[in-house]
Amino acid sequence: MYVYIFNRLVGAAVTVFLVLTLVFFLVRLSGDPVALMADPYFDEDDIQALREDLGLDGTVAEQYLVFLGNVVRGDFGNSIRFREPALNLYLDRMPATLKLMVFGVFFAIGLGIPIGVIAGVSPGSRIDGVARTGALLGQAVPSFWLGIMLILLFAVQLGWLPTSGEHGLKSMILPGITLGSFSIAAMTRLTRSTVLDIWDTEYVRLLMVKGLPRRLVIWKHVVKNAALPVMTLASLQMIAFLSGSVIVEQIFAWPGVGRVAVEAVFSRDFPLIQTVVVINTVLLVLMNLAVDLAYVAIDPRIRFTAAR
Amino acid sequence: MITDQARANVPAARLMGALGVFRMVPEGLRGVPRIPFAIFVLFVAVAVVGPYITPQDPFQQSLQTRLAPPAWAGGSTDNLLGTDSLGRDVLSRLMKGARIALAIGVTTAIAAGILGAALGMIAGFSGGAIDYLLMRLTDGMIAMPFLVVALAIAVVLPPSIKTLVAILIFFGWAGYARIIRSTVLQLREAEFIQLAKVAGCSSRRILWRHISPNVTNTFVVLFTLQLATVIIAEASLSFLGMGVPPPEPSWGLMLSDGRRFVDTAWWISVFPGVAITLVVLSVNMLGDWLRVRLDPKFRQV
Repeated sequence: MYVYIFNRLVGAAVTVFLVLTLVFFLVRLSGDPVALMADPYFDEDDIQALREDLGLDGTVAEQYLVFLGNVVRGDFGNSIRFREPALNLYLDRMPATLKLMVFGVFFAIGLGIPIGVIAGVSPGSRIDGVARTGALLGQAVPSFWLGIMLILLFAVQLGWLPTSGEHGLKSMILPGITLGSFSIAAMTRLTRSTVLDIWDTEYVRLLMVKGLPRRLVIWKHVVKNAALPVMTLASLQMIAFLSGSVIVEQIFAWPGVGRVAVEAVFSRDFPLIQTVVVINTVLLVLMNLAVDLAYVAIDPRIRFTAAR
Repeated sequence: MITDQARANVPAARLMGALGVFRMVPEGLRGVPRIPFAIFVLFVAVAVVGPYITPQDPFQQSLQTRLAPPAWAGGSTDNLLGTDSLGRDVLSRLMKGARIALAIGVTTAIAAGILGAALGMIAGFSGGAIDYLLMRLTDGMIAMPFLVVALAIAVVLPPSIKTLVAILIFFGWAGYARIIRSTVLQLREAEFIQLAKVAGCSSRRILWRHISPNVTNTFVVLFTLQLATVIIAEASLSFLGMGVPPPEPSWGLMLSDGRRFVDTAWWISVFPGVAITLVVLSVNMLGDWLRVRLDPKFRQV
C-alpha cells in the first residue's frame, strides 16, 4: 500500500513539474517577457532594472530556478492587464467557480444516483432503457452546445432564467446543469452497473429471503455497498468540473476561474496564464491524490494487492 | 516436406491469405448496431466527398443574404439550413466541417495511438526502471488538465491545424500507453511468449512478431474511444477560439459564431451541435459494440 501511495505522489510531482516547465518555456517562446511587462515609456535602463528586479537577467537555468522559487512562494507576478498580483486575481474568482462546481456535483449525484439505482434493480425495464439512452446522450452532447441550447430554451424562449452572469441562485441553475450533464451520464452508468453487480450477490438474496421489504433492501443495503465506487467517481467528476468550468463560464459569462483563464489567454496576459495553469494543475493533482488516498483508506482490498 | 517450389510460393500464399480478410468484413460486421453505423458511414462519406458536392462555396460571403433562416422556416432553398452572420451557407460549411473533424480526429487518434502503444509496449515488456519512469510520465500526463494547458500552449504557437493536431497528440498518447501496457503485462506471462523466449527470440522480435498482433484488438477499441474524445476536444478548442483558425468551418467554431445570434438565428448554432452529438454518439456506440466483440477486458455496462 505504501508503495502505491508513493507512486501516486511521484506521479503527482511529475505532473506539477511538467506543467511548471512547460509554462516556463511557453512564456519565453513568445518573446521577451520583460518587454511585455514594461510600460511604453520605459527606456533601456528602466527595462534592464525591471529585468534584474524580476530576476530575469541570468541564464535560462538561473531564471528557471528563480521562477520555481517564486512559484513556491506564491508569487506569480503581476497581471499585465490588471496590474495586480495574478494570484489575487485568481483567488478572487475562485469562490464563483466553487459554487458552480458544488451545484454541478449535487445535480449530478442527485439525479444520477437514484436513476442509476432504479435502472440497476430493474434491468431491461423502460426506466432502464431511458437511463441508458440518457447516459449515452449525456456523454455525446458537447457541453458548450448544451449550454447554448439551454439558454435558447429557458432564457430566451421561456424567459424563466437569466441568460448570463452571476445574480444569485437562479442564475446558477443553467450553468450548473450544463456543467453537471456530462457527469450525470457517468454517474448513472456506474451506479447502474454497480447496483447490477450487487443485486446478484448472495448477500442481497439473503436479505430478500429474510423477508425484508424490497424498498428497504434497495435503498438501505444496496446503496451502502454501491457507495464506495460511486462516491469515488463523484469526487473525480468534481475534479473534471474544474476543467469543464472553462467552457461553461465562457458561455454563461460566469465570473469564475475558467473565464479568467480564457480572458488571460486572449489578452496574452502571461503572468495570469501561468497562474491559472499552475494552480489549476496543482488543485487537480491534490484532489486526485486525496481521492486516491481516501480510497486506499476505505477499501481494505487495495492495501493487500501488489502495487501497480 | 518444404520443397524449393513451395518456398517460392510463400509470398503468393501470404498475399492470398491477406486478401482473405476481405471475405471476413461482412462477417465481422455481424450484429453491428445499425443506426450508429449508418450515421458513422454517412459522416465518413460526407467528410470524404462532401467538400466536392457542397451546394454553395463554404467560404463565400454574401451580406445580402446574411442570417437567412433554413428553407423550411422562411428561407430560400438556396440555403437549406440557412446562412450565418456573413451570409455563408450553413449546410456547405457543415459538410466541410465534417472533413475537418474526421481528418483531425483520425490523424490524432492514430498518431497518438502509435506513440502511446509503442511506449506502452516498451514499458510493459521491459519492466524495471524503464517501466517505472514511463509510467510516472504517463500518470503525469494523464493528470494534466487538458483545456487550460492546451489553451496556454495554443496562445504561443502559430494558430493552425498542425498546431492543433500536435497539441491533441501531446495530450492523447498517455491514455493508450497505460492500457496497452497492462495488456502487454498480461501477455508477457502467456505460454507462447515464454516459449518464444526460450527458443531464443530477441526482445525486439518478440515485441514485433508476437506481442503487437495481440495488442491490435485493444488498440482498435481504444482508437474508437479516442476518436470521440478528440472530436469533442477539437470542437471545444475551436469553440474557445484556439483550435482550427477561421475561416475554416470547424463545427466548434460555427457554434461559437452562432452564439451571439442564438435568439435571432438559432440555426447557426443548432445544426453544428446536432452534427457533433450524432457523430460522437455513433462513434461511442460503435466503440461499445467493438469492445464487447473484441476485448472482454473492456466489458462494462
